[in-house]
Amino acid sequence: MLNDYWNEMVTVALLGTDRRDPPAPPVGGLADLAVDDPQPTPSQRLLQQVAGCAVVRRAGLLPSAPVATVAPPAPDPRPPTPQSATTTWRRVVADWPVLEDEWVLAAVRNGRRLAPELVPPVLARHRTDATRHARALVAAGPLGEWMIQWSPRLACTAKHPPVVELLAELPELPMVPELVSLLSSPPAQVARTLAAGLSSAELGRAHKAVLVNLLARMDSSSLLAVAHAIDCVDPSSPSIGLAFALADLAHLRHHMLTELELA
Amino acid sequence: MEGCNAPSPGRWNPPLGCLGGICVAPSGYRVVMNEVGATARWQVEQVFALAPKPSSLTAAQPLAVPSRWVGAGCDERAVWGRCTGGSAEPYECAVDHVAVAVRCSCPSRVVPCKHALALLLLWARGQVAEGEAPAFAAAVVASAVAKAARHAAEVPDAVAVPVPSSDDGDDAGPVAPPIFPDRDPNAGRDDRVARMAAGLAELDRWLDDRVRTGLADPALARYSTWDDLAARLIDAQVGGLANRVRRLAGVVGAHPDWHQQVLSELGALHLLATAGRQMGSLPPPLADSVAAAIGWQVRQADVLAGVPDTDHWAVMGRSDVREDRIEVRRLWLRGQVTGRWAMLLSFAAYGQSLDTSMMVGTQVHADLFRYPGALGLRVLVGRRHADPAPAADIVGCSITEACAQVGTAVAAEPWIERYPVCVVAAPARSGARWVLTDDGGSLPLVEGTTGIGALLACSEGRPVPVTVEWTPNGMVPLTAHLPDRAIDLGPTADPSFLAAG
Repeated sequence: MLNDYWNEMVTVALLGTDRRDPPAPPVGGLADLAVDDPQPTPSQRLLQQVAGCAVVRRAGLLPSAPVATVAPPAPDPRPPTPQSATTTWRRVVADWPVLEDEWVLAAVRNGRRLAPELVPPVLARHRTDATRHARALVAAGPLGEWMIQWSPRLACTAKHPPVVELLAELPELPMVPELVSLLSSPPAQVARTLAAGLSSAELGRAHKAVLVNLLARMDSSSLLAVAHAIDCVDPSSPSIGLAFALADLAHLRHHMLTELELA
Repeated sequence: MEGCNAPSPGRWNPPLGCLGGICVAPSGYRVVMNEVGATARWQVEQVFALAPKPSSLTAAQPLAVPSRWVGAGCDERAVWGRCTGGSAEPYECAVDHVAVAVRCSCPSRVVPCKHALALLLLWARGQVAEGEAPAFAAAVVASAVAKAARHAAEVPDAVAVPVPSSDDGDDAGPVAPPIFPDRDPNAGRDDRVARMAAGLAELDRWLDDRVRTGLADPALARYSTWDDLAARLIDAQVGGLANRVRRLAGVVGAHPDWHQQVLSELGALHLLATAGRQMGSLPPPLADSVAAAIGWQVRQADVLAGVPDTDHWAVMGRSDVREDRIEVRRLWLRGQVTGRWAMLLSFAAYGQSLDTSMMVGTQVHADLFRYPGALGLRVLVGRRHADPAPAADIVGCSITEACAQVGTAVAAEPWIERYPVCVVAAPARSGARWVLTDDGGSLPLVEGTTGIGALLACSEGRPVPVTVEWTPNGMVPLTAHLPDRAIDLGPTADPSFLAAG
């Protein structure tokens, strides 16, 4: 009865009380309100009843009938990525997306599955890239397919199928020939070269893209040494801003790889 | 002088409903002739009886020491002084203790403010020397005398004079002064109240026009229609209502049922406009709620002067919402012992940061200070007694119980737009909508909420304790409480808005 009354009032409000009088309230509290506090005009009567009825509807919130729950996905025995890794993934995506492929691959290689809260955003993020989406599905396990079943917007929309050979490999990043040798050099030499270049400003903002690629692909055992060397770059160097950024990248990459290892 | 039906000294007796200095004597007070003349010094209990609420006394006590006052003095008619404290300029406070008129330059809307109570306490304890009244104190006396004369001419027996009860066993002294003035002569606050009243009246006229001409009026689809009203409401210093009006502009035409949502909100606005103009006749907690909803600010210092609510507070959920040009973060806390909810608000304009001192899934042993109001949800954090620790033993209720909790909250403050509950339920599909369901029923989730996908993934379709925010449009999932961790699902602020600065 209250719903009917509310719907009638909505109709009157749409048309306006200049065209139609408000309906009479049903017997009960709303009718008592109209008697206790009579309003002189149709518009004021409607406003009073709308206010009262809206409160009654909200305060009288009732549940709908129970709904059948959905069948859970098949179990995945792999341990999930730790909670701290969820925060790290968000940082990677926001600040250093060049590390994201490695983050997903590291999780899979370490025998982990994606933490459940990461499954929707990772799938949604790569739905236009078949290979990355397929890699994310591997990391997500049965939960990934199950989520797509219930939320089709998480499905891959790419026209081309994934390149299976690339699923387990990191994509290549552009690198200048002068820096390629550093990829496999001893950590101390890499650290020395980068620190010297940044201190003397021989390496500057123009080199940022290739230096980022270098740090994203260099041997992970060199990362801490490189980060510490860059941290010690002369603060008066014009490249100090770049040095800070590269040190952050090196620290983050080392942190994420360590974090995803199984205890 | 007669006296009965009076507040007992030292007991909580909310004597008046007030809005910024407009004070209304409640019906339970005897109305007797006010004797204008010299009085002896008050008893401390009489000062206690003057306090509008217990927290005012708590706030006044630290100020009732001579070191906080400069130029304090008294005579047979008034007591005055300048209270030094947080502000650059000391507050000038004067009390006519015969006609009981109060004037203080502080911005508090509580009448009498803590400064006036502190000054009276100081005087009652004999710690104020006699002296010659300065101009601001003389003005209070002159104003009170003039008002009393006018009043006497109009209504010979019409000044509310509650005095200490004769059966409470205390010696109230030879003089039982009137306990409260009929009006606070603070002109600044009266101006603001008048502006607010005019704004509320204008809002109601505007609402009346809308329902008269109909919601199908094309003017409603124009943002300027709503923005113009919102601007006028801001001018009238009812910013809380202006925000609600602005939000409505985006609802018109946004979905097929927009007219139901708009009409419902117009009803809430009408309710607030009506309640705001009858603030003096409302019970004090409800009047405080109305004042907060229409945009009256309460000073943090006044809140922190209240009685702390100490508990182990679990951080149950977080919700970030952009309101106009401000990101608003709501942190929902629940007392592990009392089960009471509390809301911690933080705001960030472009380039600023939101409060990150409390993380979802942790709990902290702390003092919380509640803002006044019927629900008293909003709090400030006081002293923390321990470092945060992971929250344990999160207990959820059934869907039916959640409905009852929401209903109770809405009945207390019918204009609230969100309220937290923690339910044990599973996400499930009901037709085109996602719902939370258990054996007793189901409640709809707000469509398009980002947390639904994460809730589904975290729960894998099984029932889990989940903290949700009730809104008139459905439930917003905030946190999934898994056995080993809490997953924050709440709406998140745009990081580029916060970090760009």
